[in-house]
This record gives sequence, structure tokens and C-alpha cells, in this order.
Amino acid sequence: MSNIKTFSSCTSELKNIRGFVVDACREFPFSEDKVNEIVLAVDEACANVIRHGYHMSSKGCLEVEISSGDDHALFVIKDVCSQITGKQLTPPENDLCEPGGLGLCLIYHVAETVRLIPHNGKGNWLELMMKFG
Amino acid sequence: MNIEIEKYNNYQVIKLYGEVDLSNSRSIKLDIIKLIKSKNNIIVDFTHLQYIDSSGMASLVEAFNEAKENDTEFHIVGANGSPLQVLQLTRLNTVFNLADSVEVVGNNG
Repeated sequence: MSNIKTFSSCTSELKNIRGFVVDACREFPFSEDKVNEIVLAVDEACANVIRHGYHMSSKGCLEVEISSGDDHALFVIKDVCSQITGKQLTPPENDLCEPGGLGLCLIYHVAETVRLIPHNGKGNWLELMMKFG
Repeated sequence: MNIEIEKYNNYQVIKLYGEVDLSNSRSIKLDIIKLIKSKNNIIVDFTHLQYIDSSGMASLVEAFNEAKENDTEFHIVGANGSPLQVLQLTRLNTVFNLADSVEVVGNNG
């Protein structure tokens, strides 16, 4: 079973996305600190879509889909932007996050796995996997 | 998001309230850099800050670098909860000057 919601690409929607993620995380066995981290990671992924995919235009849309398995939850952020490559999602090489790549650095610090899901439609489906416990 | 600016001894204290994200981080950066260019020592008070994302942190790094160039002080105080986690996750807690409160910095500067 999954929880799906669509948002506009307006930056003011980020607050609503964070609220949606917090509410969904209450259904899962995550600590409060882990919920904070997950909210941050999903927010960063969505902010990257708004900034780099939609170039700060509020006319696009994002869909956030949250589902779970036995020991993990999946957070999938879907957009209809130009398709990105795996290279654009390369994790930072050093451990110290630096301005310019801070958002991606945070996503990789928080998520167990980060991957682009292959699909036939337009845009990008970015999946962040978070393990329970 | 609200911002209050008040003087404490030799510092301009910027109190952040609520949430800092991509929607407001640029305006906060401009406010802080304006104060730095006027040669003010800066304390950014996180006590009432509930959330900050990487765009907010990047804005503070820019302000911190601007302070170094202008030979003024730049401190962050009162970090707790999610904003403290972000400082630790990004390891920016090893870059910024952190303290518990405005008084700790303001009475010793």
C-alpha cells in the first residue's frame, strides 16, 4: 500500500511536502531523529527538482509516493522534467559537505540507497530507501 | 519564517523563527550580508529555528565567508533539534563558530 500526493513546483509547497512526509513517517517505526533526517532528504530531493529541473518555475509538478516493505520505507519523487543521468546523482567524493553539493550530500548521508527508477514515461523517478530501526 | 534583528553589546543578533528553505534562504542571506558589509559582528540565533535545509546552510556559509573577508565575527548560537542535525550531517559544525546562547558570545566578545 502506498501514499501518494501531487504538489506544484512552487517553493512554498516545500513546507507542505515536509508535512506530508512527517505524517507518513508516523506510520513507520522511525525515531524522531530519523524522521527529521528523512524529511530533510525528501525536501532536498524536491528542492533540487524545483531548482534544477523546473528552473524555479512554479508551473511544474512533483509527485511524492511513500510505501513500505518489511524492514524499510521507500520515498519516490517523480517529476516531468528533462531526464537526468546517473552521473548527475554521483555522491560527493569527500565526507565534508561543501556548498554547491550540500543537498545531494545530505541525501546520500541519510538514505540507505539512492537510485533512478527506470520507467517508460517522461521525467525522473528518484527513489530513496530508508531502513527501519 | 520570521527574522528579528537586535543589538547585543558589540553584535547584531539575527533571530530566525520557523523554517528556512529554498523559498526564503536568499532573502535571509541578503539581510545578513548587508549587515556584514556595514562592518557588524554577527550572531545568528537558531534557538527558535525549527527547520533549515541545504539552501539555508549554503546562505550561511556565504555569509560566514563574507564576514571573514570583512574581518568581522560570525557566530551561530542555540542550535537544537533538526537544525543541529543538519549542522552535524553536513559537518558544518566544524566550520562555524557555535555557542549555546547570545549571552555566551556577546559577553565575551
